[in-house]
Amino acid sequence: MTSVTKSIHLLHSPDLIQGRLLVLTGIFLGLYATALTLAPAARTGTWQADYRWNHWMGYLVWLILIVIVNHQISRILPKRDPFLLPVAALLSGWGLMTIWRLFPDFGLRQTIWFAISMVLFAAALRIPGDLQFLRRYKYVLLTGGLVLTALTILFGTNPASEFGPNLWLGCCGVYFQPSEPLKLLLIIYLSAYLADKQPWTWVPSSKSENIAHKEEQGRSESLSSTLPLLIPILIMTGLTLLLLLVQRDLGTATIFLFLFAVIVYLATGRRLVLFLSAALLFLAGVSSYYLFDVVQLRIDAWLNPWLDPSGRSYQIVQSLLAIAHGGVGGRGPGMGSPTLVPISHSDFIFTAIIEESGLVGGIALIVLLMLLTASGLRIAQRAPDNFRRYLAAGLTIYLIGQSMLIIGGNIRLLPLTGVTLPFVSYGGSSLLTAFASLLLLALISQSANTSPVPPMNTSIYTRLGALLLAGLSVAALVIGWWTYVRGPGLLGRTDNARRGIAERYVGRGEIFDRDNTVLVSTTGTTGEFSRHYNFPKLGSTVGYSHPIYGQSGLEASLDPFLRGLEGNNDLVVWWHHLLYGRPPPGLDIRLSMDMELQQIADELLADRAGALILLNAENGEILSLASHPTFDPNQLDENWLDLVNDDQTPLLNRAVQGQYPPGTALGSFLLAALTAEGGIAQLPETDFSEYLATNVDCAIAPSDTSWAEVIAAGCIEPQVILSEELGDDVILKLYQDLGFFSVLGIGQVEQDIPVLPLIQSPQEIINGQSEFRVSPLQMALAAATISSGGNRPDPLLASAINMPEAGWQVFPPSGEPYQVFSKPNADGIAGLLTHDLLPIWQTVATTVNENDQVITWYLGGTLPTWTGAPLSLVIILEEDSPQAVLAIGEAMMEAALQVE
Amino acid sequence: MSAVILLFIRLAMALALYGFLAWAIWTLWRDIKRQDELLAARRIPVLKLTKQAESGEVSYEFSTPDVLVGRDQTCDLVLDEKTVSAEHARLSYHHGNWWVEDLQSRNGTLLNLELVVTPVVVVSGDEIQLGQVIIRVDVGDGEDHTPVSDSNG
Repeated sequence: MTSVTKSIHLLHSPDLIQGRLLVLTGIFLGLYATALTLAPAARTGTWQADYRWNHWMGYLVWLILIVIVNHQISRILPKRDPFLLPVAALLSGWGLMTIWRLFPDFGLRQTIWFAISMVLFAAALRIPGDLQFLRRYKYVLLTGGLVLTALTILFGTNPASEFGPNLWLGCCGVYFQPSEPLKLLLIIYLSAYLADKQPWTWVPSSKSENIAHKEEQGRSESLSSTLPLLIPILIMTGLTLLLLLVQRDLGTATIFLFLFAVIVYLATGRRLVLFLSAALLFLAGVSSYYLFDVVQLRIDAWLNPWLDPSGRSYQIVQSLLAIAHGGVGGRGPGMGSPTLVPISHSDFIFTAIIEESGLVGGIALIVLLMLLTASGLRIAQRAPDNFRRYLAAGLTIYLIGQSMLIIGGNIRLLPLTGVTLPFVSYGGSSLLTAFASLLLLALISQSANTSPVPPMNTSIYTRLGALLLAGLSVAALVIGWWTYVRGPGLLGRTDNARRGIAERYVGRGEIFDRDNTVLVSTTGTTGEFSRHYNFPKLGSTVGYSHPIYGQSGLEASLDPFLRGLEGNNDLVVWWHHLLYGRPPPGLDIRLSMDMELQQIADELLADRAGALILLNAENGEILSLASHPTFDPNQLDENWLDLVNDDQTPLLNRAVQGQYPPGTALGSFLLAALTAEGGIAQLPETDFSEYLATNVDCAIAPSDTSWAEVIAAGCIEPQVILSEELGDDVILKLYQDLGFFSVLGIGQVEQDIPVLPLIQSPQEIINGQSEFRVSPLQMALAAATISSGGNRPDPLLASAINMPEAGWQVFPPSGEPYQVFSKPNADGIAGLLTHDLLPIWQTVATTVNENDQVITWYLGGTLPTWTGAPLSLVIILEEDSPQAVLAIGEAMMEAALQVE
Repeated sequence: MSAVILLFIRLAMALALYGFLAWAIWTLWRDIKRQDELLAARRIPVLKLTKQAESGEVSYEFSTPDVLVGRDQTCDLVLDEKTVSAEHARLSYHHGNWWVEDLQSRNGTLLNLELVVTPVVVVSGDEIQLGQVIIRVDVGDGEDHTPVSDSNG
């Protein structure tokens, strides 16, 4: 492949440089192809995988053609720039492999297009290097291109979709986009025209002494002569732009304007051209924002992608997620999910490359473009005449500018435009045009003069090069920003479908109850894992983990453990992420829940809307947690819309998230607070007999007029008396001690944000007029103080975790129990509220919520004399049925005592 | 296991890729350095062409490297004389000198009364005769004109 020859021109001969670079390219792509073959085995973790082989055909075609072209170009153009072919070969090979990886059907087509391009490239190497025929027929060429493009207005089709812009010509599976070669023809036209009309400085002989003065003269001379000079190209460029606007090919129109501005700038050396064009581009952007829906959509999606991530800015958000998933090192060929991004083989191929090659690959690709910039501008500087100089510069600007436009669009540096990434993107027209540009650059570099004609102003090329390199560097920095800085945050988004894909490959941890009954299991084999909920009635407690609808309930709060991100060694997590781009196998969790009691609770609640919490009053372990109505997490796909729109809010876990007015349910705590010092004798002497006769504000009729009875029956008046006796400050402190001002979650991941709502007055709470709300869980923990001798425990639902090596490990309690009442005090109150027949205490209360709906509370628990684990039970029903709640509560307590 | 193999392949891919870039950038840099040495302080001297006519002398100065002389209006220096061909001669700057070249004109080009057959170097004081028109050549001092950046060019 290489032949070492001595060269005066370069330290290393072009053949040697080009040969070595092509060998490295071949190695890189061969490794890529090998990795792609192995990827299915690595994804599923077995050697019995469905290996990919078809892309090797693309690799072989690439290899053979590149060897031939390398040989040909070394023979025919011995003095060409040695970087052009290797850079193009690497870019096109990388693109080819990526397209095979994304969609093998497109890969095959692209391989054919690549073969056609290379054969034409090799055949055209013998074109005379002066390119005079292009210069001579500039109008014919451009007009031909315009006519072809104009034909798309009449006969244009879109092979990809029926609704997209019709920019292609052709039929029967072969399509061509004339606007691609049109770019090339415009560059040729502009270069030829401007080289022909090279302005020269004319000075009368009398004034030739003062050189400085002379130059000034010349400048003002050509300033006024510049505009008429530009008229023909303005007309031609205007026509081209008009055509593209009619066809709504706005990305290409932007490229054209850019090309026009830079080439005219190169020829005239006037920065004014650049400023005017920038202003024109800005104006065009603003006006097309209002004229074209597609521009408006693109600009809005660019400025505010997070507002509508599933709609208008779906593409860009998915693109950024893919980039974030790539991270620094990339997922490896075949290991990512780049097909989640729409049109990943064409517009978003850069995103696909980043996802699988990471920041490392992205920066390499950008450095390749920088190399092409340097080569191209160097060729321009050494070109033997101005036509070829402008042509080389224009071609470089076309290749780099278009790359920057689409890369910038992919990484949200620029608004998205539907142009291709030259050499890399899928598309025959684009590939052919890119190789045609390369051919022209190679031909021009062949005739480079060893003592080149100094151009009018060489600093223009340096400045232009600096500008392009700066733009590419900014793109590299922005990729770093998305992969490294913003990456972790982005990947946590719920619209990241990669998470759901990872869960099909990595088993999510299972959930057990306290007797190791499986509540939630992961079934299937690697690649097809799915979640199965064995107790559908636990829906609102256990929640769900769904690839589309995300996570809720315990599945959400225990997610880091179930996904194996927590509980595993950090090194293991990192290693799995490096190898597979996903977390290690999830860990199993054991809950404190008792399925036997849970099923009784679900049967008792039946069709009533409400919630039930039974917990161990000593250590806060939740034994049963029911919320009705509930939903079946196995059937989310079928029922999701119904569930979301249901007025009964089945997705809400009423026991934990439900917010209810406490009303008179807090009576037992007021009673306990008042008797804290002197026992029952502290109570004021009050006669309730008259009040009892009317019985207007009790939940149930009290059996006698004792304090205990009227509190247990949920009567309002006695509680008002109690609260006045206690005073607002004491009550505020009491409620704080009882934990009503803390937001509680269940499971290990808890929020504990203190919330101090404005309490208007304790009396309003009792009357149900306050906005003060508590959740049934908070109430159950408060009720635990009476059963457990005055201590309020922290809630605990996840009790143990199955660690990879250590086995089942008990979660440490999240906090010490908090002493609210003294033991004699709490025991005394429990004794006062004792049930007639069962060894339990209980109170019942009714109140109304903001919608004037009656709420019924039940608070109960074991007595101090109970020898088993102390229990507390809270039930809420969203209906006015004190008798029903009493029946449920007594049945539940009875069952719980028997189980114990 | 397969994933570990894949990891090594990925590492090797990165090495090949960055090997490519390092080798390319290194050779490019060496080449530019070499070019810089070669091109140090190269300037294009202004070409002053003085047409001797009956009404007096008219001078034209060119800082472009390529000057086309002829009767045609598109020429850089237009000589409206019927003995001058449409594209008569070309003056171009390369290899450190201005050269004159006859473009197969009907009446030929003479340099100091000698027929120009192949491109010939011109220096200050030379006289070029195109048809009946005589032009005096003055080559300016390259150092003072048309700044050339000494970058890769």
